[in-house]
Amino acid sequence: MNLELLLILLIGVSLIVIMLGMPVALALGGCAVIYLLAEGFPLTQTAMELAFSIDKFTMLAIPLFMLAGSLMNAAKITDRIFDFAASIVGRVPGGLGHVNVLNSLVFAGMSGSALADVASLGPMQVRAMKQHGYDEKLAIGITLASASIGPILPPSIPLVMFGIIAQVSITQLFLGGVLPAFVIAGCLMTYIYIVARGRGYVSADPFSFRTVGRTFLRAAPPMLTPIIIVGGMTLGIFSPTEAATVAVLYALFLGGVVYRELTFKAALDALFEVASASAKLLFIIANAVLFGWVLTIGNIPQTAATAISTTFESPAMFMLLTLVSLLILGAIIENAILLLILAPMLVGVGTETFGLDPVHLGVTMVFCIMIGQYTPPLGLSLFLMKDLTGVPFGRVCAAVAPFLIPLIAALLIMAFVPQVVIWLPRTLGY
Amino acid sequence: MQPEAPDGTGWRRVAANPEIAVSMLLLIAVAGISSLQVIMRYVFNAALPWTEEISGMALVWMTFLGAVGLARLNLHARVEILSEIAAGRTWYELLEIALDLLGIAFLICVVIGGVDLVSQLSHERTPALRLPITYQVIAIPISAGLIALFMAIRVLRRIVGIARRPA
Repeated sequence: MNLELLLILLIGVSLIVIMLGMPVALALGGCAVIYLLAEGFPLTQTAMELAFSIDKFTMLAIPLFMLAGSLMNAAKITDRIFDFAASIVGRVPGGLGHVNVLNSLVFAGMSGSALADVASLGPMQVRAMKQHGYDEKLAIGITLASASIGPILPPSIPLVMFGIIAQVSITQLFLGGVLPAFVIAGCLMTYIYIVARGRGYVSADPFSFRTVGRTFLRAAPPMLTPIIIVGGMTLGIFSPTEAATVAVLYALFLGGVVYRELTFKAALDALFEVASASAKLLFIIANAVLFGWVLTIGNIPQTAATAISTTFESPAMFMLLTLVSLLILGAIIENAILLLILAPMLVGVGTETFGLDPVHLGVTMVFCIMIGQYTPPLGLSLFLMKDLTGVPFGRVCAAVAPFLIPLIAALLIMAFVPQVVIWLPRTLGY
Repeated sequence: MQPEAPDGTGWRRVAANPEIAVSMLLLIAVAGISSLQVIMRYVFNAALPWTEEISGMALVWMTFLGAVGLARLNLHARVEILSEIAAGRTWYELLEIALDLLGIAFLICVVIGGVDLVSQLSHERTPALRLPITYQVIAIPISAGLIALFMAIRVLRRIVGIARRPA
């Protein structure tokens, strides 16, 4: 049998067994092994790829950023940020909705993960909005939608993963994510303003510069985290791994010395969760690297490039196709997995055949995949929200659905106005 | 990528999951070594040459031991649509057995390849610390073997479960 055909067949089979519920890492690895055996490679090659795929220095950034975010969470810094955001935008129609978005924007810089954002801010934000007379559905929708900013504003674990897999500079990706995060926040806040104006959701507390100043001082130390990280990386002082290390040390300093709210038990739980979450992710990455290597041996990226470039003529068409397929796939495949499988294929084609900027493509793809978290049936954030609030799954889905309008608007802006993404890294000389 | 937390919290949970407990220690080691490196480099301006090697090795062990724990708890990332719909049905149990057996077959290949690789590389050493490279490589066959073992136990449990079911 033709080997290339065999490989395409194997990819199809592994996608089917993944959909049926086989652990993703094992399906990817298994597919790779069958092909390697057919090609006549020894089994040692498989073990070699697994043993030397994740021992890279950059990979350390993934567990370390996760640890920093978890420790910040464990030290209960979120309510400080909430108060600060409330003091600024409380008076605007839809006040608490905007607080919610700003809160995510600030917190995003620390957690780097949409799920962490939903888990730590979600219950508090939904409760606060309901207390102030907001509709529960609106509260859930805003909280989920605003959590999508997390993976775009640095530090961002999906962007680190993308950088490693597609071999794009992580510093550039981080810088590229800064402006789009504000674009997303802007789109969401515009939408909330329009919805809330008709319903009269306005805070009773008068605006005061004193409150802003006081809450700012309380919230300032954690808000410095993204500035330290992005600043250090931009100036070339830190590598991504060193930035992640500094973030961990800073989180320990804030939780243990400044606020003294980080208990030993909370730190222990954070360590347990980060150890298992990063093992889960890195185990898939190790197998995805093996799978990716097999794809290269089998010339799949080139074949796909030829097929795609003969079908689509313009970069815009390619971008549109990529986004539509990611949104559809994002509904059924978990975001990290989708990123690991598709990033190497699509980035090669996008940059070489269509001349797209890899940073632009990376940030846009990551955001697109994050929106996939809000579309059933496999939206991890949706399940998390259901567990946290006890609201039925169907209602959670219905709550977030209207927010897909501003989110997709932001996505289209990022996709077709590349300057939004690449202006900052370019201006800073990258 | 938060995992569905296994039962309990605190020390009780750590003690109930020894592989993940070791993973936690390795995570602390990785964070500690990286911090040491950052401090040596920026405060004392004397970068240590061996930190990347050691933390890379620790990361491999952390990941693959953690993967053993996740396999025992059945928490590896997978698409759960079908299991939400059909959990408990006999045809679905049979399907899960088949998928687990496929996984076990892959893991056995990894064990065989890993053992061969360990003997092939038995004289290789790391560049900075001159540690045997097998310290890192051996994590692969050991963890693949343990994951296969836990999956095999689950397959047996499922078979027993189906056999005991009234026809």
